[in-house]
Amino acid sequence: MYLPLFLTLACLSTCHSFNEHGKVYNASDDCNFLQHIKVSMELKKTGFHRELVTTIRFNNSGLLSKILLLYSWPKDIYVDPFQLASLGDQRNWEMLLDSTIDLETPAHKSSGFVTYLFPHLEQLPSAQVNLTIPIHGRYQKPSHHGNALNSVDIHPPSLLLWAIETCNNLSSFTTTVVVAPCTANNSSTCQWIEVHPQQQPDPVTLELPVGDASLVIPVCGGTLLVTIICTVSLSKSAWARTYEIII
Amino acid sequence: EEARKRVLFPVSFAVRLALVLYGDYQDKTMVLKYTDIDYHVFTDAARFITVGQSPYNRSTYRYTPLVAWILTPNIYLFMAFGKILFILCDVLSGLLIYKILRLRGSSLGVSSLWLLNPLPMGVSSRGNAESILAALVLGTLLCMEARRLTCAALLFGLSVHMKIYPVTYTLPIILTLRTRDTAANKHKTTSKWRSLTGFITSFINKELFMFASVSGGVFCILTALFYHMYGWEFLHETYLYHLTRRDIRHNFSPYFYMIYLTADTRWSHLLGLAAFLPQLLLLLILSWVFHSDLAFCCFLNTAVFVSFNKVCTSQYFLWYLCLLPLVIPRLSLSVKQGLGLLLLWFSGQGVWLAPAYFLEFEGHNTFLWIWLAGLLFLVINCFILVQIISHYKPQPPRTLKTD
Repeated sequence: MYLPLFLTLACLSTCHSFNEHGKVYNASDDCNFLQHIKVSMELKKTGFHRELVTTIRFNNSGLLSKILLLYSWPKDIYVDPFQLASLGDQRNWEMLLDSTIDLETPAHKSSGFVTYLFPHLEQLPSAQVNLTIPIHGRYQKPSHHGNALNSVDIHPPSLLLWAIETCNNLSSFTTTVVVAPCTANNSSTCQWIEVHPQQQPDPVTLELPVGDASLVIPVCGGTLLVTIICTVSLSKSAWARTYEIII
Repeated sequence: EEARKRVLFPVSFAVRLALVLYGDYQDKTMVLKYTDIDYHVFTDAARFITVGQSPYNRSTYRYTPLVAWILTPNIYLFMAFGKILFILCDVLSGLLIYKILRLRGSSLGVSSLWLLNPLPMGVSSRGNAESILAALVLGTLLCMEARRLTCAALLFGLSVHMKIYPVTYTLPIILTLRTRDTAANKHKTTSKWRSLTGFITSFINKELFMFASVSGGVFCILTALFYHMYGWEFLHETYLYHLTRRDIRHNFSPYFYMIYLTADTRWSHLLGLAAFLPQLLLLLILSWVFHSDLAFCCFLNTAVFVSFNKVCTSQYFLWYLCLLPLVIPRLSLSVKQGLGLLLLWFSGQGVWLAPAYFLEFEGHNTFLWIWLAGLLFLVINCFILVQIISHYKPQPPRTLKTD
């Protein structure tokens, strides 16, 4: 339903160029607006259940219709595909995952994964878009070094744009051609151009609690001792009623 | 009492229905959702069934496919169908408690402990399926009390198919159904060999054979059917996962931190066995001592199974709480003592919940405190069980006949 509106807007604005794919157009044929795209990240909430907010700021002179954010997640983090699906209209993006996610394995038995995030940009032009992804920390392998918390870095996503054929001056930017899924709904791949913003944001860090492996002997000893005491006291109280109850 | 009954049951259902409607409103308007995450799991699994796929395509679906099949109207009719079914089972559980209590000579008042209890109300209206199992287990006990053994066997087979834990009732049921010695035989001086053969032959009787065939048959037919439909995945997700489960994430179990710290060591399996032995020993002793009062024995077995389990979450508490109203009328505890024990039980949970919250939602390293609170909760549970055991007035045994 957005395509007719998109075409109308494009035809009304004669100063805008519009290529055959119709995916990127800008105020002039030079793509200087690419210089002004800024990506930043912020972690919200605390504990094991967080929200990663990625903000993309555009220069007003440029208007994108299709971009893709490629996240490489560490093994310590997972996203719950069913939770993402249940967000429905609350999210302004679609996501594709490169592998199935085990929601329960600890970090050291998991591997990292990649997600392709397609923001809904139909409502642009706007100066910026915020993309909120609920993420979860995995349990960590117990530490022998006594550190109470493990730090996990989440690196900024790669910013991919739909093939920009109308840019006269594309070669003046630092770009790489990347093959990635065309949409979140099918597996066909397209050529995207990875844009390297001038200011690459720093990774965001979250800290996850980790078990203290040096306590293994007192913990095992204490647990078994308490369970044995409880077992004995319950058995004694039950046994004391044997002759009264068994007929 | 009939007039009170006519008010109590409709009111119980109406309150639960109002909670379901409120839950729908909260889900639509607030960030914090009312509906249990499990309800979404059931619904997703039911959706897979409606498109001809396996319910196990929904990760973390670890139930019999029967639940997902029953909940397909969630997709075909309306989303809250399952919740309505769960609250109906919840009220049915209250009715079954009432009927069992009447057979045991107690009044209606105690069944309101379940019907007007906010805990089962909240759990079933949030979309948790535990009420189905409560109804099946209570149905089994009612049929046993009413000496309708075929019906009891059918329900028992279905209960074990739905969840593994009622399997802990097998030994008390077998002991109940064995041929009893007559008082005259009991006092005769017999050789040890004769008492042993007498004990063994007491298990060979028509009632026991019939019960084993029917309940075993129901369990095996359902298992074979779903194995045929969904293969190994069904066996693994429904049964083997729960039997071999080593959940390292924090839960009420006293073993949680030990399992977490030793998960990847060679001691893991040995410690797993060490953790299983107290549970097994207690189930054997309690089944032997209290089998003549089946409802009380099932309550104790469930409470011990849950308290000493390697994984324990709050929904497991409902497994024994639904049997508590059957036990309460026979306790010689005063109201003050009873309330004191209840307060102690809630305090034990509160002491655990505080560090668990700080770990999960604030990111503080409170593993040690959660472990200590888990041990304290076990001690509290055992103290309460010892009080219940020592203040229980046993029910005189009755001779069972088949229907």
